[in-house]
Amino acid sequence: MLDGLFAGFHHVLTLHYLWIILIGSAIGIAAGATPGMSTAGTLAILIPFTFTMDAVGSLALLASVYTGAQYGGSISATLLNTPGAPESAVITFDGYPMAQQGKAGKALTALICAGLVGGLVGTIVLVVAVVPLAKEALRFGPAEMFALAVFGMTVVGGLVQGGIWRGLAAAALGLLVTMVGQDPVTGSARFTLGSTSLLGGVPFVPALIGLFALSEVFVLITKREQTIELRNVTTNHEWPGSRSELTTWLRFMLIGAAVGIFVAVHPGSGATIASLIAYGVARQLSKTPHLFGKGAIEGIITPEAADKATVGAAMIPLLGLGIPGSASSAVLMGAFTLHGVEPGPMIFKNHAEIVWALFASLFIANFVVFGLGFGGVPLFARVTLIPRKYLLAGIVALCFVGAYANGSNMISVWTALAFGIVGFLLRRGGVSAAPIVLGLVLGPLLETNLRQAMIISGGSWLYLLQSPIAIFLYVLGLAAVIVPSALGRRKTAYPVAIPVDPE
Amino acid sequence: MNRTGWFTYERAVMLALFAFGALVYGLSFGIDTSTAASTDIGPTFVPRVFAGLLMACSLLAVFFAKPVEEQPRPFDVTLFACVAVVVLYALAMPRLGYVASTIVALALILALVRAGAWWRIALFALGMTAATYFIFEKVLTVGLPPGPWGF
Repeated sequence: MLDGLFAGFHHVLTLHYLWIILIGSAIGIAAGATPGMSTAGTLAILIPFTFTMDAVGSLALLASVYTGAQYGGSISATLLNTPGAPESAVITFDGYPMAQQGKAGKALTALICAGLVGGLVGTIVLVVAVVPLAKEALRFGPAEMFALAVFGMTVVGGLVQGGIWRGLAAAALGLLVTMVGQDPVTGSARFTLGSTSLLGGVPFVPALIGLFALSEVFVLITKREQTIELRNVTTNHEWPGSRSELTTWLRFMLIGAAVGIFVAVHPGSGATIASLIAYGVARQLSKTPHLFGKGAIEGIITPEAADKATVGAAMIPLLGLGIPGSASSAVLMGAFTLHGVEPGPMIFKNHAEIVWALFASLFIANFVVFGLGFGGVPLFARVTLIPRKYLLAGIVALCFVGAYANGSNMISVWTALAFGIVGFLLRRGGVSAAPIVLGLVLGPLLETNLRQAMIISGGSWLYLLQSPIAIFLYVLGLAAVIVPSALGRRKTAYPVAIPVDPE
Repeated sequence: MNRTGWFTYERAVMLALFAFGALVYGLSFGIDTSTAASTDIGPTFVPRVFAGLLMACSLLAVFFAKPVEEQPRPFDVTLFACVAVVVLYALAMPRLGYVASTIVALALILALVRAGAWWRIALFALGMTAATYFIFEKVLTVGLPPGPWGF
């Protein structure tokens, strides 16, 4: 493992890749600080920029954007009471009161430190856990892979706002879209409406651009708010005043990182849920729970560390099993496949050098984001001054040119447009884009393994229930459906649902 | 749409998904199954399962899903006009080329959302188009649609 990691660092520690990571981190922080720019949307817009890069450069750029965006959202949440992304919404509870009390410098210092600790812990767990997980997953046959895909769907469905059925309906829509194109076994055309352009299926990257970025444009048009006045911006970093305060910071950073990792390794959960749960846990464990909502430092440290830990942790199921842990990692999966790298158990056999370089990039990106965040807060905070009306027009141009660049044809543009309009209409109806993307990812996996299972077993459905691992995954999937609804009935102190616009 | 009545926007969306599932289920009968081997479940089976799943889940959501917490603003003329501009932009791009169609589309969108003085709108539309054209056409060497003027 260490040899691989050293090789990864050796690969990435060149001026070319360091430059890419620096630019990616800066773009990520700026985009994350901009209200309305989700992390997944930013990643989707940037994928076309990576077409001409090599796989390592492309993934290093996107990984650093991902890392930077998670931090950027917390800047605007603290300074402007406006979260750049849903996962940073929880930071407003205590970050903004701190800024109003003149403690913005301390809040930003705590956030950047929590981000570094959370990000590093999440990446270390990724490095340690993903290899054994991938090795274990190599033993998976069609029955286990089918059960895994079912598990991924139920987990996402169980956590979507509005209940399991809305989430599963969205995932089923994604699954159905993957049926367009040539049948993988017989070669028959399915739902192509006579068009040869659709024989290869619905293009994935334009669909992502439409679902996450273009639908965001229509949402922004319906919002009337303009820019927010920048106030209370302070650059004076303030460190813990005593040893006991430093211990408290570290304790809650590690608690947050643990919560973030625990949540994010479950496919479909993501950073928003992790940060919300971490906030609830911090309030339970704090010696001063009455200060929560009024400027409690634990109230920003814990969710921030959880948020950053999800970046690495969400890649554990993505790289080990080929199942994305969040909407952002689903977009990253698109980037992997674009460069001929198929995430899943075989990735360490076929593309080990790329994966280790990605891990090294994540480590470096955490330090780069720390450095940029430390020095560049006032500059990045000014990004929030871009009027939304100009922002949305800019996104339209990037969506069109990005979608066109994907296939150099208008089918890609029309796909992005169709998914943008449908995604917008669904979002208004409480249907999140995350389960749709999960359906798009899992559709081929479900079909291939179900058909293989049927061929092996001679058509016996019982074959799908004969493996203990498969049964275990079905039980876990069932629990994922039952537990959130049980928690919902008990009216927990913190929400446990994916909002309509996750990550 | 009336929020107090039973037929809410969320339910309408779920009913639309149900109808889409039913449509796909019906279309699956037109798929050629003659090449499927006797040991295979065939090219229509999985699409029908997924369509059935969509119909079942959306129907259950109609009755059991909780209402959306934050209600969106109602549709307005600006939104419809912007969507129309975006559709026209996609139609115009292969005919007028990337540069001309993008400048016009961005200027129209910004004018529709009342983004400010005309010179600001024009400056942004020109600048954004020039920047994206330079990055994709010149740096990334992606061949963007050329218009009658060659760009």
